[in-house]
Amino acid sequence: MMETAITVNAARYLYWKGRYLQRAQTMLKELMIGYDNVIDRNFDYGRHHYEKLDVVIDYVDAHDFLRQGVYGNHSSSIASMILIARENAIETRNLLDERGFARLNLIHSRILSECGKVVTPRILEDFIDDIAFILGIFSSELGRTKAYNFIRLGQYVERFDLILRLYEGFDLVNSELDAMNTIAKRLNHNYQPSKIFTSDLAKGLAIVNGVIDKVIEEKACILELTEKESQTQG
Amino acid sequence: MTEPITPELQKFYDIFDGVDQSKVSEFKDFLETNAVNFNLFKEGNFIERSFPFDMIPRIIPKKEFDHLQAGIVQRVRALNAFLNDIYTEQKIVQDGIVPKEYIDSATGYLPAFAGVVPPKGIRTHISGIDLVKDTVSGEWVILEDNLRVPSGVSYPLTIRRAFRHTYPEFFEQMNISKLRQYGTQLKEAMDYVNTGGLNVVLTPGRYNSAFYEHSYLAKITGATLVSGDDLVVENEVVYLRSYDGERLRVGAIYRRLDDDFLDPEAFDEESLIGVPHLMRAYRAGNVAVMNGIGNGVADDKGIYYFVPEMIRYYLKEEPILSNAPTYLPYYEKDREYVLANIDKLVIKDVAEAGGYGVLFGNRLTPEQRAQIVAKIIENPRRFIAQEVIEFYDLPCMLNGGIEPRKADLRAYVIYGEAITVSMGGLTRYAMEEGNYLVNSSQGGGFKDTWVVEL
Repeated sequence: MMETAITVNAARYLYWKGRYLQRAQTMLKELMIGYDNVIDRNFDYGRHHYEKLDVVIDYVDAHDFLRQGVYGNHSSSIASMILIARENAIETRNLLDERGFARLNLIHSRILSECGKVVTPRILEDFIDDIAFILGIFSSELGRTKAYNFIRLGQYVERFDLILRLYEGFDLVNSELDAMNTIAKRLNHNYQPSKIFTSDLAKGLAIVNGVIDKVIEEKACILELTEKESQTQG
Repeated sequence: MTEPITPELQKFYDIFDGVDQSKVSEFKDFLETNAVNFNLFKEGNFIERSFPFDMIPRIIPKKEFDHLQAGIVQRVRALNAFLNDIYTEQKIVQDGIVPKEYIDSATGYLPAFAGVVPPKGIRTHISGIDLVKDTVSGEWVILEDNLRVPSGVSYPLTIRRAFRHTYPEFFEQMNISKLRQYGTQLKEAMDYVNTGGLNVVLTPGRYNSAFYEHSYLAKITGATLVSGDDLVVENEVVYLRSYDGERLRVGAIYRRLDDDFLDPEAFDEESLIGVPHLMRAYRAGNVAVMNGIGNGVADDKGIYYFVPEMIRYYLKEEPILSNAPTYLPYYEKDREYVLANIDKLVIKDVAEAGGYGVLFGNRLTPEQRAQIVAKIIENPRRFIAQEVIEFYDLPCMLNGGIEPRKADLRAYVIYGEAITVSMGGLTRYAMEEGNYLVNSSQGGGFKDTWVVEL
């Protein structure tokens, strides 16, 4: 099966599409947990949870907490994530499964049309199902394309990032790191596996988030050309 | 006046009467869900907009289309020959068929590219030929040749699939020509001129009105969709910057941006969407650029006047399809006629496109008429005038009923090893009754075009 070449830009768009969809899915599930807590166990649970993501939210009750989580004016709102995921998908739609793209577009339309309305757990479940559909549809294809692998890489990195930020789960991340390294190696044979030998959160996050820069060798490509061009012109 | 009902159209209506018409709404849902957009910039804002679609297709009997096809192929052959001539020997000028002044003053003419011969001598790789059907003669008339970056082909291709899914009855019971080979034909045309390397579709980016189409064409041809910064030129060879640091040679570029923006070194130095030094590679014959550089001279509205003569001159054939009756104010006799009959004519500014710069003399106030007269006298080369063609309306499902709307046809032509006309095309209709401007940039909608053999 002949595969189309992937540019530096397309690789980044695919990677970030994977990250933002994964982030949206994880945060939707976190919102469900938070909702239960806010109702009758720990009203400030949601506030503390978002503080770990450097986001300040304020709410008056459990439904308002959900509304803030989905439509709030902050970078970790579900609406923001879907918007960015969709933008990345538009840029790369020629590489994506059409049904997956259409479903993402539908979620985006629904968020726009229902903006500010009451958010119920049922709506969150619908969104979770939709995102699972989008992410799952790639895995149903016969060819494991590079596009698919960039999305998967984004998903892994995002998942590890959130595990570390929200729960500092170093053991969990380390136990799954091999799967991510396998994908990264498949994308770039020069890739050297990443390992986390620290329990420092900032360092752990830097390692996880630095994986993409070892897969996308943008600088190498530019430098090589610049050197050769200057030799030619000189 | 609405086009008379042919047996082919009657067959459509017969089937239509028996299908679930409530499913018509599925087309709108399909276009919105899949973001099949023709975007607009309005008052500085980017608006994502679905391209309005009307489900009643334009139906062209196969025999009639065969005639159209022959005329369109003939025209594209002549236009390609004209471009090759203009950028080399200019025999047509020397022989007095086209005035030199018309070439030199055409905004799309790029004398700096004289002598550059593109791969396989092809310059009009993808053309969009606009036609209407005249109510008086009943004949198809060519309105415009689009030889730079004609857009729109993705919309009928996309909707055809939705149509087949929603209403298979029509395709089971009518013999409708297939469109699906367009992707293969386009790929083959790219391969044919490819100088060695990848095929790419070069887009100005996501905020271009036709970005959906760029993405779609990349998908159906298997070409890589690239922006200007994805490509680099080294030693007069174009490379794609692959994510893994590799540089992959590019052999054919289907560019979807105008000449001006293509290479900041050769054209507009402020262009951020082009590829620096691309023209060096083109001149060296190391990459095919589709469509050719400087094609604007051939689809200039002033040059349009000369196309029938080009056909006679290069092909030694009589034109199969006619132009709309056109006058060039550049010629004294024509100018006198235009100035005396300005209230009956359509005046077109040759530098404009997309329905802009088109004035209907009968709709102008006396002051506006005086202004345009003064402009024509001051710069006759800038304008052409045409008789108003009373072209047919087509039935459209609008406002809860069926209403007539003016509609044209854009036929798509691929010039590869052979010249092929897509067996359909984009039918564009005006949104308001009586409006002659059907352009999508003027808010018009589209229909599928069915070539049917009973």
